[in-house]
Amino acid sequence: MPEKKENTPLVEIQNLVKYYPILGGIFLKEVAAVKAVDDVSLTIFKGETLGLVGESGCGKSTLGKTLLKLEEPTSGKILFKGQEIQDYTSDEMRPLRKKMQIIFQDPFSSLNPRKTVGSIIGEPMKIHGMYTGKERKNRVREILETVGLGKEHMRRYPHQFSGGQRQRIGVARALALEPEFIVCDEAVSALDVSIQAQVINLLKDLQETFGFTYLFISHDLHVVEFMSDRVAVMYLGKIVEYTHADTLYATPLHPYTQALLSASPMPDPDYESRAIILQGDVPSPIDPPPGCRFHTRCPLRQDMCTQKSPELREIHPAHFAACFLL
Amino acid sequence: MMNETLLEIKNLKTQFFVRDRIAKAVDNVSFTIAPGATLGLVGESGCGKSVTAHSIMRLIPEPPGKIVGGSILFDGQDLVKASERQMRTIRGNRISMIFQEPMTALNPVFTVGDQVGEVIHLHKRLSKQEVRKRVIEMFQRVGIPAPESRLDDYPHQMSGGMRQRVIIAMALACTPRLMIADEPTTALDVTIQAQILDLMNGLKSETGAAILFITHDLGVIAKMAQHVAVMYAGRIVEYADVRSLFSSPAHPYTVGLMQSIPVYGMKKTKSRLITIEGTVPSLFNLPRGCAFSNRCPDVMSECTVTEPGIYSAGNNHMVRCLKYA
Repeated sequence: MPEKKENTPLVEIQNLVKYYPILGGIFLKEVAAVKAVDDVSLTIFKGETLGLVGESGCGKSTLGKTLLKLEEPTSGKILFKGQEIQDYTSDEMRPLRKKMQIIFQDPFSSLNPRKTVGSIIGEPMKIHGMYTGKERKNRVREILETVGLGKEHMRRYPHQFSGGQRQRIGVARALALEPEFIVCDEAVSALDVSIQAQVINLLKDLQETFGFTYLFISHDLHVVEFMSDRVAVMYLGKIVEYTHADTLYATPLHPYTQALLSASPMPDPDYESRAIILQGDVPSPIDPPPGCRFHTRCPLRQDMCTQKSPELREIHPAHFAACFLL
Repeated sequence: MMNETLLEIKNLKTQFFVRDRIAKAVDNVSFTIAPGATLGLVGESGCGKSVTAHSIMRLIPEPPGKIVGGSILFDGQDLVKASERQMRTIRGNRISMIFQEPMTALNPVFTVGDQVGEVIHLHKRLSKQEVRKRVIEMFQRVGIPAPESRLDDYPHQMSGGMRQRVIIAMALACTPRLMIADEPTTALDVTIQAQILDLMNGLKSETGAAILFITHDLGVIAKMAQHVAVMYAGRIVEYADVRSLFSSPAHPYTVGLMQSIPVYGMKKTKSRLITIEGTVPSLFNLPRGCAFSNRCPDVMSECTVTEPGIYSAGNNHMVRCLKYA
C-alpha cells in the first residue's frame, strides 16, 4: 500500500464465485453454467483506487456488480466495513446502498430518458429520506456544480446533453448519496479522448476532495495505470496478477499481463514494441480449459499447466501472481 | 513528396441537408495517398472521418447527403463524376472497405464462404470451384485456421476476431489498390487488436495495397501510418508524416489530443491530465472563424473572425491555424 493512504480495508471479498446457470431440456434443468467469476479474493483499502483490467467477457463487470450485491453471489464472502453482506436481503442492504454507488459505461442507456436531470439526481435522496423539499433542490444544484454542470441543467432531459455531459450526470447521481465506495464500470470508455480526459480529472478531483474509494474497471491499460494505486488483472473469471500499479507496469510477472501490456499500442511511432502476439481467442467461460485457464494461449505453456490450476501466490512482497513458472 | 499518386482528393465538400439547415460534414478536404502507402485519418466522433471514407466509396445516402464540390481522383478517374454502374466495378474490386463492427458488417443468413465468394464472383469471371479455391486461399492468408471447414460457418459461429479476419479476406479478395479501414480494430480486445494490426501490416507489404486508416486511437495510428491527417469539425487541421506529428504537433487541437491521453509512467510527473475545454461544436452551429476557436487555449482575437488557411509548419507539415500565418 502507498503510505499516504489509510490501511483499513473498506471492501473485502473472499473466494467470491458467481455462476450464471444455463437452463435447458424440457424441465429447464441446469445443464451448464457460465463461470463469470470463479474464486476471487481481493481487498480494497479505504481511500485507494483499485484498478481491474481484463478483456471483454473476463468477468470484471460481473465482479463489480456482485460485490455491490446487484447480482447475488453464488458463494463466497463480501465484507463491507467488516460486515458480511453476502446474505443480506434487499431490505438489509438498503441503508448500505447509500454508501456504495456505481457509474456505468454507457452514458446513453444508463439515464432514464423520461426524467429530468434534477429528478435523476434528486430521486435517490428522496428514497433514502435525505433532505427535504427546497434543501434537496439546493443540494442537487451543488452536486451539479461539483461535476461541472450548472443549475440551468436541472430541468433538462438526458437527450439534450452530449456524451461527456451525460457521463457527468452519471457521476452526479453516484455522488448524490454521499457514498464512500464507487464502482466505475468502464466509466470513461465510451467517451472521446478529449472528453475522457475531462472525466478522468473529475474523478480524481472528487477522490481528493471527498476521499472516495474506487474500484476502477476498464479494458484500457493506460487509463487504469493513470487512475489506480493497485491493479488486479483478470482472465476468464480469475485474478492472474495483483499488485501496486507501478510494479505491475514496470515488472509484469504473469505471461498474460506481459502480453496485454505489450499489445496495448503506444502513441509514439518510434516505440519499439516487442509485442507478444497471443494466438487464438479467449475460450468460453461456459467450458473453461482445465488446469491454468490461460494455457491455451500461453507462449510459455508446460505440461503441468494443462492439468493443475495455479494458485495466486505472493511472488514478491505485495506482488501476487498465479503461474507455475514463477 | 512522391510524384506518383493513387488517390487525390481535392477540396471535397460533403454536406447533409436537414430541413432548412446544412451540416458541412466534410469541408474542403484535400489529401493524396501514394500507391502502397498508409494514410492515417484521426479525429473524434463526428469530425467527418467516416463521411470522408463514404464519400470516396460514393456511399453517402442521397438525400439527405450530397457531395457538393471537389474531386476524388482515383487512378486518374474522378469518382465524384462516376456513374453508379462504374462505381460498382470499383467498389470491392479496386477500392475495398473494412468496417468497424465485425458483428453487423456480415450478413447473418449466409455462410462466410458465400459472402467472401460473392465479391470474387461479382468481379472476376471464375467458376464455382475456382471461387471456392480462392476463398480458401484468402482464409489461409488472413490466418483463419482450418479454412475448408470454416468456409461453411455462419457469422454467429465465429468470434469477433475471426469475423474481422473474414471481413479483411473479403476486402482483399480482388487484390484492391486501396483499402479503406474505418476503425477496423475499435470493437476488438487489445490482444485481438494486436493480431489484426499485425495481419494488416503483413498483408499490406505482401499485396502492395494502399490503406486509408481511420481511427480515433493515436496509439494505433503511431503503429500503422506513415502520414497522418487530423480532422476536426469537417476539416483537416493538420497533416504531417507520423514522426513529425508526434514529435512536434503544431495545431493546438493536435497538441491537446496528445496531452489528454494517459500513457504508462505519466502518473509520476502529472496527477491530472491536461484537457481540451468544452465539447466538439455541432456541425449545424460552428463558431465563426476557426471552428476550434471556442476551445483553443491559444485563441487570438482574429481567430473568431478570420477562417484560417493552410500554412506550413515544417517540411511537408501543413497546419490550418492562424498562429502559423
